[in-house]
Amino acid sequence: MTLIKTTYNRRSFIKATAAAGGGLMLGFNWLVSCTPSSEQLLQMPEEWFNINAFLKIGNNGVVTIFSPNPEIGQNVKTSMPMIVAEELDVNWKNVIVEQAGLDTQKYKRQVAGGSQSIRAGWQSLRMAGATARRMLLETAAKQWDVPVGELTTSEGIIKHASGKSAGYGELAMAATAVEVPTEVELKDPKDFKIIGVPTKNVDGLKIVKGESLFGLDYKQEGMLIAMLVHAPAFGMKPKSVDDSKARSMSGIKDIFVIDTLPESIEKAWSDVNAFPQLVVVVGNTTWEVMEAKKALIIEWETVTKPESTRDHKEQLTKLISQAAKEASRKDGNPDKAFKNAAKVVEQTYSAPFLAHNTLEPMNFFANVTADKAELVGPIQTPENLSKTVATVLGMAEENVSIMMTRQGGGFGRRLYGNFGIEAAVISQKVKAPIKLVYTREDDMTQGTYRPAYEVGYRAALDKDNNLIGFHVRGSGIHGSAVFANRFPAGTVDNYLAESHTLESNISTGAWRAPRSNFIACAEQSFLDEVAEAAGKDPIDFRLELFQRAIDNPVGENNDYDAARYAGVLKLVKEKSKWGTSMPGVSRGVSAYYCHNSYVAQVIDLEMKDGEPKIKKVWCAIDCGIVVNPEGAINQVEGGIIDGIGHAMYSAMTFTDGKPDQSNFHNYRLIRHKEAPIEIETFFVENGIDPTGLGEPSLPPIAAALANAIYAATGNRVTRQPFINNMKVEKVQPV
Amino acid sequence: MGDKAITTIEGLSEKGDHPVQHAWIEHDVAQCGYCQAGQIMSAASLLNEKPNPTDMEIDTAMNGNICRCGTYIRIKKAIKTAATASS
Repeated sequence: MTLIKTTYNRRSFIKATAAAGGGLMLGFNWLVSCTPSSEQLLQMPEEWFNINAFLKIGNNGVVTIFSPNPEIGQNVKTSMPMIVAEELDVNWKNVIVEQAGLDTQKYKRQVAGGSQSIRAGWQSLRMAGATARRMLLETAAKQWDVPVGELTTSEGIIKHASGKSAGYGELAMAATAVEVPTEVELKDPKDFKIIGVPTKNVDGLKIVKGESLFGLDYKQEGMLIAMLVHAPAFGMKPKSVDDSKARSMSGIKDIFVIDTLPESIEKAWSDVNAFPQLVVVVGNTTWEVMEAKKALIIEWETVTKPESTRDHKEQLTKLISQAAKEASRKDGNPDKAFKNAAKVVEQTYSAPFLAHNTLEPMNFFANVTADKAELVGPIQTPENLSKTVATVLGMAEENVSIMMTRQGGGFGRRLYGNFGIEAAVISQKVKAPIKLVYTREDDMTQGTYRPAYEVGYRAALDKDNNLIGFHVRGSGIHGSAVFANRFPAGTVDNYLAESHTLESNISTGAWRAPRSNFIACAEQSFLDEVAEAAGKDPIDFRLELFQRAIDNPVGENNDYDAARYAGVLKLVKEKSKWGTSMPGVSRGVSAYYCHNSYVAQVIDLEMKDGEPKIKKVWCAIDCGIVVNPEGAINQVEGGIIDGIGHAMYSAMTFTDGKPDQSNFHNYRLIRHKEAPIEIETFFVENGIDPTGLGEPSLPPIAAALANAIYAATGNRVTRQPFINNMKVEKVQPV
Repeated sequence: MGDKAITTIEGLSEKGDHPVQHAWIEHDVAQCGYCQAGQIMSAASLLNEKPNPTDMEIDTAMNGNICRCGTYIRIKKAIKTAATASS
């Protein structure tokens, strides 16, 4: 049992009986029966009682839990309410989940990013459930005139040894009048009944029925469609627009140019946009607007120098040949270590820009009137969007409301809400509700890409094959991927980390597991080379390094726990039966730490027609307590497939500022037949509070793949996408 | 297309109880869920023509349906479950 101080502000506890309900609602936990049985139909209550911002209880005991964070496919709409339900102590079958709107006074952090939802929400979600439970207990104690300590709860029912019992629904109205406790008890994790139980996606049925869930599905009466044209190349903006033909076309209401981020306004980190000046077409339907877009004659002007991928490559290679002005970290005497080395291993790794390509392209609904702005759509950072929209519209922030729809992917793209600002500006201009819709091409060529990277490594081994020096020098557009205090920092006496950045007019942003998504591949591929040069097994070699960091770490700022790191490697070693040879199968291993979680992976593959056919991925992960194993395993599998796909096949390249790729015919994403046949996931059970899970499985997998390809072919693949750089017979793209 | 009939996800079944829809829920396939309507329709169409598809037939039939979340393994399992359920 843990005691926790409650930290609610007044707004979290608006005590009110709320809207009348009534009627039947299909419980989301409906599974596989053809016709829902009576017990699968939740009888909707006649009255709801708001206990706190996270939950309301119906007079019949049905509970609605509000999921605070944006759902982008990371399963938080299921897993966050599970945490509330656990501490409230109700039967999950009697829970309805609703997406909460933006209200950070009530919900604090409403962001989908950094694999933070569960770890940052863990205490407040437990507190919300536990506080409500305590208030219900106090209500029962008062009514029955017994001490609270003599009462127990189970599945939404309070009991007393005398035989008295009452459901939460019967007590809910009186509970709203109870003073909010300043301290509540939390369950001992060993008593969890919902957390740790594989639980289906709360929107699962709606998804398979194709119900309206996403931003693109959203409609309002009288809504117009807006689409935009951004410059064809980075560094350009509109100079003049001839809309004489387009304006008279069927269904077209208006055509104009907007500036969505004037220089005068204060910008947040999320206000990234390479194309703030846009040509906008507004009309009745997407088809009519798309046709009118084609009829526009737009003259563009060059504002900044157009850039090409070929030049970027030369510039990055030159950068990493030079020392940085300042080391990001230096331990011991790296120069001396390399001079005295018996062996030096060197390698360079690179990766291109990547588009996010959420399968639901950017879109947003806005209805801006004289005194308020109503926005609805998919956004990972609703609070930032609300602030910038208020500034750009010249409106007080309390007059801006944002509702989040389910989101057809995020991966970092929807952290940058330019599309929401655009929708608001357009609606204000045309004085009508509008839905802004990007085509796939608009979306893919808009920027906010994963940065392009190049990094060089050197390792020094002594005559006994001990690692005595390690040097990493990274660069990127924009920003280097080097994390100076991550492994192998702390395991080697002489260590040097340096970073360079190259500026560009091509916009970049966070992309699933920012920086880690590249550096893990580079570092873990390099360690494979070093282990080989040292004549050591790649897992044993890493374990030796971790042992050094456990026994006698170098430096004090090592931001990983070497024992947990070693733990996942040992687990994957055991589960994959590492060391046993399998005819025709080549293996590679990799391990990485990010978002406070530890992952180790082994890939088993065979080469077929010059491409790797991945038979199995073994994944060990230490992310503390797993709230929903069903969703968690899905996340791990997704991260692995996503990581393999992008390292293997994907790239955004540029010629004179113009993207060379615009849709999936020339931007290759992994497809069904290229996915591993099987992935097996093993969680470390240690009872530690949850850490990140949506991102950590992605970064290391590309190195496990590269290392297995090396085992199979004898060739190191160091440049992404691997498919273009494998020294085997070239395979035609799909 | 002329007068040809088109079935979309909304018309696959009245109550969401097509074997493919059942299988999708059983395997908790969806992450973001956006591509799943297309995945489900391709799978239903495949099973109409080939009630017991091989892995290669599944790969070929599903090749045009991309999933950025990476739910491919679950999709394949769900197709096999649906095939078994309808046979």
